[in-house]
Amino acid sequence: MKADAHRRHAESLERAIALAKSDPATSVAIIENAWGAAYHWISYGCIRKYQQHRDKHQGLTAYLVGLGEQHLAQWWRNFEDVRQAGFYGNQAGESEVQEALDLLERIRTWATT
Amino acid sequence: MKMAPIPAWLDEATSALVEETVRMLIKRHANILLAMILFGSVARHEERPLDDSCPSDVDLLAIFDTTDRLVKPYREDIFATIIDACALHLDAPREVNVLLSDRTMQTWDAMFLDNLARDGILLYARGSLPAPLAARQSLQERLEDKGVIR
Repeated sequence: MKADAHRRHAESLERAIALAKSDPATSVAIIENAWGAAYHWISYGCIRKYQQHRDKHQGLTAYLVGLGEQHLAQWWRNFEDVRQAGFYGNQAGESEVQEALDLLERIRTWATT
Repeated sequence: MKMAPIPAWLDEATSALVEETVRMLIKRHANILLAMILFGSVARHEERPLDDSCPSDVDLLAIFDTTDRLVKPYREDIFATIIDACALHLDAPREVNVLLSDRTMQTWDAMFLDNLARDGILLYARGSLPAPLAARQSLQERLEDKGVIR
């Protein structure tokens, strides 16, 4: 997938998040979509900055560390924790949703600047 | 759950990454880290092999002495530590995921806690296990004593 396609996917997922925000029952969907959008922003940013990217999320942390993007790798690892806790936990609360949205904001800023 | 070393069936490079992650978390966050548990497919020795198109990750649960589910305000420093460990072992073929938990463990699904108590491998513990795990541990030991489960 090319950089612009990754950007379009990220923006589409962010529109879905904006629509879901009015319904508190969609917290898991917001986190899932935010995680997906973050992945596409990382791919977009890596292509922009390094002319390469990893086309799957497995191994992405080590890949980003290998590029020297320690902070980005840290945010991604943090995101994985928020998302995986949703699989093993009973619910995703407001604080988890806010954490996911904060991480998405940081990752988008990294990708687009 | 048993206290045990990192399983021998894990490849050398991933094992080194797990060991580094545990060691660095203990060193840097000793005041709040209560326990570290290996769980999931690797703990059960049911992991997908390295030649699989998607080999299993290694799952660790790190339990901290706080009641905040997101382990704030320590969260960012903890992930910085995890990344520092990762940076020393980029050759590890398996990814090591660390899930953070507060000591109440209230938001975790009961089935997840049951599986954790049954299959988990305790890599580190300071003091007794958090109540939700200790209760299950006790039940498991009683059932094992009676030969109901092995």
